[in-house]
Amino acid sequence: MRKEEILPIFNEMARKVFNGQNEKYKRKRKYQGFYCCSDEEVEGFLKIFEKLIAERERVDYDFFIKLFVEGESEGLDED
Amino acid sequence: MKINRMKLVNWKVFDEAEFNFTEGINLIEGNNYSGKTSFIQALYFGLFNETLYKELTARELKKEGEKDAAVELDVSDGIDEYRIRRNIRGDKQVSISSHLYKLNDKGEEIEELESVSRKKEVLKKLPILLGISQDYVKNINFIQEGSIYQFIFQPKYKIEDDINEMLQLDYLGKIDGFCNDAIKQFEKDIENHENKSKDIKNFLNKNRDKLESLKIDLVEKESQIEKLSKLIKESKEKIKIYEELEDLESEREDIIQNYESISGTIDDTSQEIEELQLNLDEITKLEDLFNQLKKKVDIFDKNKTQIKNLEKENETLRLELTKIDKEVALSQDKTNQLDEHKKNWQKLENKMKSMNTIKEKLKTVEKELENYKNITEELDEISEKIIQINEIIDNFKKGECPISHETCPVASQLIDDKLKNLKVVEQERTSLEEKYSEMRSPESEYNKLKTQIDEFKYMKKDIEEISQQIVDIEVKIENLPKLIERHKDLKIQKTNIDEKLERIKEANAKLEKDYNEYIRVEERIKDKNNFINEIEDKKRDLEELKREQLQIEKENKIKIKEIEEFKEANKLEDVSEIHNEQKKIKSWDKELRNSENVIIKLNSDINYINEREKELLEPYTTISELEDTLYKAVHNKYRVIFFQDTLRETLSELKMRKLREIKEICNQMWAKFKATSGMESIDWDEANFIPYIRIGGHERNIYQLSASERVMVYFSIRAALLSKLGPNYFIIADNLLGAFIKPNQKIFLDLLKDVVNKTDINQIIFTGFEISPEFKCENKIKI
Repeated sequence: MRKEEILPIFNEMARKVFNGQNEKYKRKRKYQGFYCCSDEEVEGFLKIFEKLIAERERVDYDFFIKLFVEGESEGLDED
Repeated sequence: MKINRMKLVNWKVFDEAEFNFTEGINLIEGNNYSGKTSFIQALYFGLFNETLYKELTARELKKEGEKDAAVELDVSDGIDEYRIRRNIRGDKQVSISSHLYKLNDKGEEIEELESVSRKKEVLKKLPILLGISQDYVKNINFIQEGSIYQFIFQPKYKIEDDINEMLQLDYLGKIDGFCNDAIKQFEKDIENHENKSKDIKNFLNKNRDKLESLKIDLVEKESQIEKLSKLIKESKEKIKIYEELEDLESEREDIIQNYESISGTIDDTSQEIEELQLNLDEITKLEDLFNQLKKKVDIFDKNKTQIKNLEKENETLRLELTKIDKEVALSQDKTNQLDEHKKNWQKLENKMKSMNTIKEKLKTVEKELENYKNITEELDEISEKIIQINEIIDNFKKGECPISHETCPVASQLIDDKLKNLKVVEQERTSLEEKYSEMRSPESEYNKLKTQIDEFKYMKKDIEEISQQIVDIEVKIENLPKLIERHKDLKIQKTNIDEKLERIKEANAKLEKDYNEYIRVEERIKDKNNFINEIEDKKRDLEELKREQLQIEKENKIKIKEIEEFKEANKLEDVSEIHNEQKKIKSWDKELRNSENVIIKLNSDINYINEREKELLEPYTTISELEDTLYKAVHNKYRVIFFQDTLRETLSELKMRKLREIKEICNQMWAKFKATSGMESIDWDEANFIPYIRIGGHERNIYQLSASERVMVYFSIRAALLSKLGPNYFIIADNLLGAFIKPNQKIFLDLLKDVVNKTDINQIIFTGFEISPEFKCENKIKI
């Protein structure tokens, strides 16, 4: 499966899920800041996913968590 | 990728065979056991150095009884052409070597790109050059006979597996698993943080009121301490002023003490002056006594001089007496000596007399000595004669002379005479020798006598000296009576002097006491001036002290005034007030310390609460930090959930899209197929992946289709998948038509043509037997 083919779908699905969740948690405004993702984060997830696809050969749990928790840091590309 | 050629050597049923392939459909046709499956296996082994079925070993691929086997594949990537060669060597222990070459336009090897000799080692450049991955090709590009039958019986799973394989769903599924783990981990963290948060909140709720009251108490105590400190400070300042007053008082006390000490000194000095005056009076009295004593001492001194003179005189006399005594003794010695000399002189005279006799005797001896010399000479002559005679006698005895009495009576007579003469001579000699021995003693006596005469010569000198001495001594002895007379006179004179001396000494012994007293008094009188000076000094000191006393009195008055003024200025009472102030400070200090202790206790309680709070918060420093971490964990959890949801949605969407695309391709392939088979279109139940076919306007479940129909559906789906997912557009299938009856074969072969024409698939290599002769394709190979 080619990366170019899969990434747009992931991005599209991320929007869909984001909108769905936003709708779902709209009433619980108290948690909105934490339970829902921001627009920037949705963009960030695409990067995480892209990195996971690119690093397919060496992906493991620690790598996944590192990527996920520190995904927005500059160290991402170095890994 | 496209396969152009395959060459086999000692491969199963093949001794040596070469096959060329073209684009489009390549049919390998053969009967049972003709080597169709071996052919497919050779293709697979050539590409991947592995048997198609795990159970099969490389050794089993060789022709029976042959030691070595080889497979050679020429492949192209559309631009360049490469050759893969695999050699299987050995009988029991098989070794495999692989080589990759680049080919030129004529199909000749121009460069060896890679070579490996180990059994399981792979040619690394192969997947890079041709873009093939072993797993992918094995499951997608190779259609094994078994998988066809598997689909026939379980169509759902097979299709789903293929789609999953092509979409790499196993990998994405793994990430989904990671998401699950992460969510669990975050939930665990959240639980921990929440529990911690709960604990700390409970603790704070319980202790908040206590902490507040402790803090109020603390403030109260602190203000109390401040007050007390102020009071103590004031009191200390007061004490300082009192201390100044105390200093002034003590200075005044010093002045008084000084005054008293000076008064004491004045008294002492006056007393000392009085004592000195008394001593002076006593000395004045002693002066009279001194004058009296002085007279006596003068007599004493005179006596002493007289004694000295007398003793001197006495000594002269004594010396003279001694001298006379010595002279008398010497005269007596000389008299004795004279007698001795006289005796010696007599002896010497006698000796002189005997000397004359000796001289006469000596003359006789000298005469005898003269004789002796003559006799000696005579004796020598006789001895010579004797020797001569003896020689003659010896010669005669030896017979050297043959003369005998009979032969020569004259000679014999001569000899006899001679012998007689010899006896006479011998007798003469003996007598002379005796005389000679006698004569030897007068010679020694002569010598002795000569020595004695020499001694007498010296003795003569002595006699002369002694005679002179005797004359001197006799003169001296004549003066001796005069000396004895003088001795007597001197002795009388000495006795008189001794008596006088005795008397004077007695008188002086009596005067000695007075003399001693005189010395003592003299010493005492000498001190008189010292006493006078001392008294004057003391008087001066006394005056000085009195002046000082007056000065101190003045100072005292000034100090009293100063103290009064200081008291008035600072409104002070008595100095003893200082003790009251000190007592006050003590009590405040105690109170202060109590308050401080209470503060310590309060602080320790507050600290305990704070510490406990800190402990509960560990490893966080503040509650907000803990809350931040909690929120972060919650946020992360929901982020992962979001990611997982998105991933799942993506996968499901992908599948759907792929299925739709595949469906479209399948239906395109079926354009002609529809006319011949009546199958209008293919579709899927998206929930469970079970395909169904539309025939004659009716939907038919795959389970309602025949085996050959199911194979056609399966093949078209596989071809569509491969066409959609790439990147290698070739299909190799073993016994693809096994399930088909001949009429259906034709329909399927038409489908294959449609696959090549209407999709990206450009090469199909498949085996089969009993294929309809009407089937025409690009390349037909009979084996």
